Amino acid sequence: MEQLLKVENLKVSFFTDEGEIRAVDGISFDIEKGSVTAIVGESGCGKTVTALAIMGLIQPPGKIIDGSIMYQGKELIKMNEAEYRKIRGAEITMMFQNPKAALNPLLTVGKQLTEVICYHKKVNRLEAKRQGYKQLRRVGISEPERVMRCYPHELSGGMAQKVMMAIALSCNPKLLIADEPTSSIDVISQAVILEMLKNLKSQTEISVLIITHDITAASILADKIIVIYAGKVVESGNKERVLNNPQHPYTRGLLNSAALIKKGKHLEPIKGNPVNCLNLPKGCRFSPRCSQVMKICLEREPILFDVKENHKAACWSIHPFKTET
Amino acid sequence: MLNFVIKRTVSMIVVILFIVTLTFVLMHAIPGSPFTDKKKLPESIRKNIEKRYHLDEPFLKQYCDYILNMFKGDLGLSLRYEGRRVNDIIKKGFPVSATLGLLSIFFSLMTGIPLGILSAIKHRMWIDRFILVLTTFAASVPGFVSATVLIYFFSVKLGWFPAALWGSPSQMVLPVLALSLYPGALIARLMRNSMVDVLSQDYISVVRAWGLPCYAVIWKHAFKNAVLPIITHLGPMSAGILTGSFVIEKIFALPGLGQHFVTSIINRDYTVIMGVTVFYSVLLVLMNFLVDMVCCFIDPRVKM
Amino acid sequence: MPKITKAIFQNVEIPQMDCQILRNHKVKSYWAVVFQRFKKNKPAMLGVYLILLIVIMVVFGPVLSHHSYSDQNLSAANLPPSPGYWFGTDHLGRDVFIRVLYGARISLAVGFFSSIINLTIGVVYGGVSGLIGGWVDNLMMRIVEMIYAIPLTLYVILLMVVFDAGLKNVFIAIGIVYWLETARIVRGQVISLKERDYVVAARSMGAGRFHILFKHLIPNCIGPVMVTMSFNIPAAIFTEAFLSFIGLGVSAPMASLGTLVNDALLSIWSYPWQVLFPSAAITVIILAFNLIGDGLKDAFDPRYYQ
Repeated sequence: MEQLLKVENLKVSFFTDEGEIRAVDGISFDIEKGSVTAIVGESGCGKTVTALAIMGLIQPPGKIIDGSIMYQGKELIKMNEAEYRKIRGAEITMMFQNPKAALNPLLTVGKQLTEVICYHKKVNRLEAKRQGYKQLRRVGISEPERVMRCYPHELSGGMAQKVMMAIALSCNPKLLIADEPTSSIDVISQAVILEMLKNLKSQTEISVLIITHDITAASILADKIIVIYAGKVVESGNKERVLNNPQHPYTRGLLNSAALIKKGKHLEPIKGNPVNCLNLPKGCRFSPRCSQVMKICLEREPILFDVKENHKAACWSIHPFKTET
Repeated sequence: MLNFVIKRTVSMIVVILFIVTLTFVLMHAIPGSPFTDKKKLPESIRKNIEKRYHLDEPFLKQYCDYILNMFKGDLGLSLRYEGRRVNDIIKKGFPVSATLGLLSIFFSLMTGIPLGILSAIKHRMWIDRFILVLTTFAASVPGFVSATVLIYFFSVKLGWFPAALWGSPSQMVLPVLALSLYPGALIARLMRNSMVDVLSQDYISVVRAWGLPCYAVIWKHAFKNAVLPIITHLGPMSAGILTGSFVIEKIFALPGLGQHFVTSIINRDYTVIMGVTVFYSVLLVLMNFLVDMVCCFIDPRVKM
Repeated sequence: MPKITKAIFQNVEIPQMDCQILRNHKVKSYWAVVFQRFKKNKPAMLGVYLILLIVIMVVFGPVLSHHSYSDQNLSAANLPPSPGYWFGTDHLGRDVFIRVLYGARISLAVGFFSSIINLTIGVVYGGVSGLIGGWVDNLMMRIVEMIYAIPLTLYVILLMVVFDAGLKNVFIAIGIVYWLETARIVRGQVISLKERDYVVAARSMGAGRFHILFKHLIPNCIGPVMVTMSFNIPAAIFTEAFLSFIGLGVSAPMASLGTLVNDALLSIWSYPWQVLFPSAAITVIILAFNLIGDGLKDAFDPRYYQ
């Protein structure tokens, strides 16, 4: 398949009073055309920062300090604001975690929706409104006329997320980044949103990058799963390979703590808390929480090893020396 | 909407009554009669004068009469100037004070808001720091200091503008400048903080993620949200401008109400003090009411 | 860096908790962080140094000088600044430098005492309102709302008219007016603590409720109350200067900075130093306190921290 986006060795730091926080520490992955990729990890592990970096929306004190983001052969990191703006919204677009905070409270839904259409498609207000109705119907809103006149605080969380999706999709983007699209809305709306994201793939050519802490949601939607821990990729690969044969203890932990997959069996939470990015442990970042620590884990950081084709993991336990013993 | 207006009007009337009562009680808490202190008047004459001002009547009757007259729009007679009504003093002085005050509010908004926005957009850059230093300094200069310094440089040294009196535009420059320095600085700081706050909100990242141009992000989305605190601040700000105007009118010898107020304080002209205080308080309460209405109009989240 | 050999692929046991503590050792207390942030804030530290300098000058300056604030010397009237009279003399031949120092003394005293009165009233009012709760709390907060709506400086003026001039009256008039913010903060904290307190109180069989409340109340309130105080002090100084300027402040021969400016205002054309030095002094004092206030605000709430 053709490559749409290629992220290589991305490093993003936040410079605070307490020191440099390396939120994203050398992440690489790529997204193919028409595929759904999921980035999975706990909160604070650098998922959202990765998404914002792709959008070019890292604000000070944050800064991209290294790496490259290639979109269809163009380097995004070196782009200026004006060029980037043509990509944002029209080519790459994003849905945010908390849909109610993501809409401007002082403007009606209609104003915000038509504004985006007007700007990117260069059409007049009337035409934009017509297209807006179509978009709202497409995401399953039955009374678009009423919703258009609503202010964001009058919408429910699920409804607001649908509106966000309608706006995000209004200009037929090639890549949709969905940052925790379901985490702050009620369960029924969650199912609806997930269903819609799933259908998206079959309806259009769009690629989706889903960012979530919920490995269940990822397993429903994604073709490919990337697991991130403390700003680094710890395991990545085809959905089936990663889910059926997880290599990294963190991935196993995530799977064990997900309720849906292990129906009937008791849940096993991962021990300990996510590490503090300000002072990372020496060696493997996961070692303080790992149940099978080896000497080398405390000394050296593992790199991504190939497990199989399209399946990589960063754990010393799959090193040939270990498998021999 | 109507419900909201009625509710606010009722609470406004309660606040006004509270203010009048407080003022009345305070002014009558001054020991002795206003005519006993200075000159030794013969007993009979004093009695006569007190009768004229109804000071011989019981406290409650005076109070009720005052409230009734106030709602009729009559604030009584001056104690020191024979036959002058407080209403006349207000009518004569207020237009000058109002012009000065409105010009100052306008000028401080016109300078403070753009400075605040500029500062927020260039957050943490040198221009932000510069504006911050400038406004911190300006917010520390009392009105009488800024007025005297302005007079010293622009009238005494350079002779560009007259240092006193009121009427021509060139006479308005220095008083307005002196009066709007402090509120202007305050608005700039408020605007900066509120703009920085808004710019870090999710919905701003969102409109950026949709690729809208910079001016749309700043003006359509950020500005309207960020200016709300400025509007709510207009109430306290006009109170500050009002008290500031006492000083400015005194320094520039403007024939405004503030000047009369200060004179009446020195003369212990109690009815004028009371009348002007009540007048100003009501004015500010009305101002707050107006601000509330504007906010309610702009922000759909405010419950009507 | 160890060589990769088979030997280091042995499992090792590490007790989980130890690791956590060992690896996240650099945890600072809230107060240490606040203090560190404040210390890093250069303008705020400048404010602290300025205040220290002013306090030292105000305390020791008059002792070291051979002039006194009321000594008149008509033969040396209206002299410009010189080595003998640093800030020149006024129309009665009094040394302006010493008079400015005494004026600054009054300003600092007003700032200090008025804000103590503010603080006391605010803490008591807010504490009582929050502790009693119910309709009393409701009524008390309605009153606060009402007072919020009225122009307070006007009422300081009225109080001064009622009390008559004098330093003590200035403290009181300013002190009993600007306590609303403190009261609101304290009340909010008390109410949020009361809710938590039920849990604690139930566990400890109802004992030591007030003890617990005050043990938690003070550390919780201290931040926001300190910030409010740090803005109340310059506001009080501001108000005092304003009152003196319109002739309602301290009584003669005492002279605050506002009085000095007012007295010399007419001579600005011929003897500008008599106006400019006290003006500069009041500005520097207020500026220093504002810098400290901004620093405290940033230290407690680092959103706008630069």
